[in-house]
Amino acid sequence: MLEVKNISKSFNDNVVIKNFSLTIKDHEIVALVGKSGTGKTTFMRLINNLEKANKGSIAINDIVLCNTINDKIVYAKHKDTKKYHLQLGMVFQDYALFPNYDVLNNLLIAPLAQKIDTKENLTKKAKKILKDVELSNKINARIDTLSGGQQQRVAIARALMLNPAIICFDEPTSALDEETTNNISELIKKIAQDGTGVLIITHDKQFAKNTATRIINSNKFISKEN
Amino acid sequence: MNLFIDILPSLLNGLKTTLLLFIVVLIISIPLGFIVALIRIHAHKIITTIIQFYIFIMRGTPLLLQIMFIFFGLPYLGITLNRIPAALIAFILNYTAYYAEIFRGGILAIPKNQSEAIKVLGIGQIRGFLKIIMPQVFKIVLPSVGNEVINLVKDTSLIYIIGITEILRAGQTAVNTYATPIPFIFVGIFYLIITAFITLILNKIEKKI
Repeated sequence: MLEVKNISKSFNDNVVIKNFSLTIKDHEIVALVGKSGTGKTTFMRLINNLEKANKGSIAINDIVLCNTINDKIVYAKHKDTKKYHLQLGMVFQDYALFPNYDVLNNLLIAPLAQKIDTKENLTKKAKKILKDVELSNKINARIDTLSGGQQQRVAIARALMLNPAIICFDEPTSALDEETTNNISELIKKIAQDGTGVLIITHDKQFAKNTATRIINSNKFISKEN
Repeated sequence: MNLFIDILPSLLNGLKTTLLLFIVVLIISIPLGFIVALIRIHAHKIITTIIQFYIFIMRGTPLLLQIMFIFFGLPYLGITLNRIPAALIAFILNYTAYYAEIFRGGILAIPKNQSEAIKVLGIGQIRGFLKIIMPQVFKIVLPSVGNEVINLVKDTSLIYIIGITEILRAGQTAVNTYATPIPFIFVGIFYLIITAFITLILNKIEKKI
């Protein structure tokens, strides 16, 4: 479960998010929709610890990334943020796969670095996940030989390797055709069915309608009631 | 043929100096260039400005002038160096500047989301840099680094100015002694052999990464 409470973020004098709260439970798919420039990406970057909030608290399954005590925000120590990151999967808009590794090693590099399991077990797991995302035949393929849709599925598989409690998608349909969009929608539903909470940032309202269990408009970022 | 056999020992002797300079400069200036590039990207503005100034001087003045300054100029300031160390210092300072700029370009060419993915996936900054960023940087910079490596082979001939006998100077002595231009052709062939060898190695590396 992701719990974001009273989060605020400004860039200099520009208030992007003010007192925004959001909870995502297991199995839930929340879509944040809204025009570009309304702070959707900033919100996702806050959750991913790629940007620091000015106020508020963020935690997944009680593992705290940041908390506000006496009006002052305190971030977890480096070692503890690692635990937090383990709870969270991220699928970047342009996938951010590692082009110098093949598909399998893109999946293995993070869990191996975090010493989650033996290489043998992790390879077994990777093969299973690749089967789930229908990429079994691409296990040793180079990233640059894959289509956009395939690369996205590798990015999803890479995030799933860490068994995240919450998985974030940044504009997952921006580079996909209609059929691939439907496929990704089904895949996201399946991920949520398996128990993961999902956060989707999108400007595609139809996709949000078809996929999400709850839709939030990003114009609520600067109002007080959420 | 007789001429070739007569001058071969002195040419090989010169070749030894050329190769020594080439290898030492290469081994030191490539890693040093990489470190300078990293510092220039990440350090405080004051240090960045100093590095920028250093690179400006090194790239903006002839290498020949730099060699002459270090060997003939520094003694007036109380620093006297032997010929080979003076040549090595001048070349390393100069080539480090060029390599630093090449590596800086390579590092900046890596999309920002690569380091963000490294962070989000908890791979660790050092491991991520070594295993993910650096291989990509090397792939990008290899052609430019290769160019500079080949330039270095030819630039080594500049050390004749401080009286070191490298292969070109050995050739020139032979031309004067035997009153024939043929030794220059031999010297040219030696350079071509070295360059061909380096090109071969670079191609192999390029295929591997």
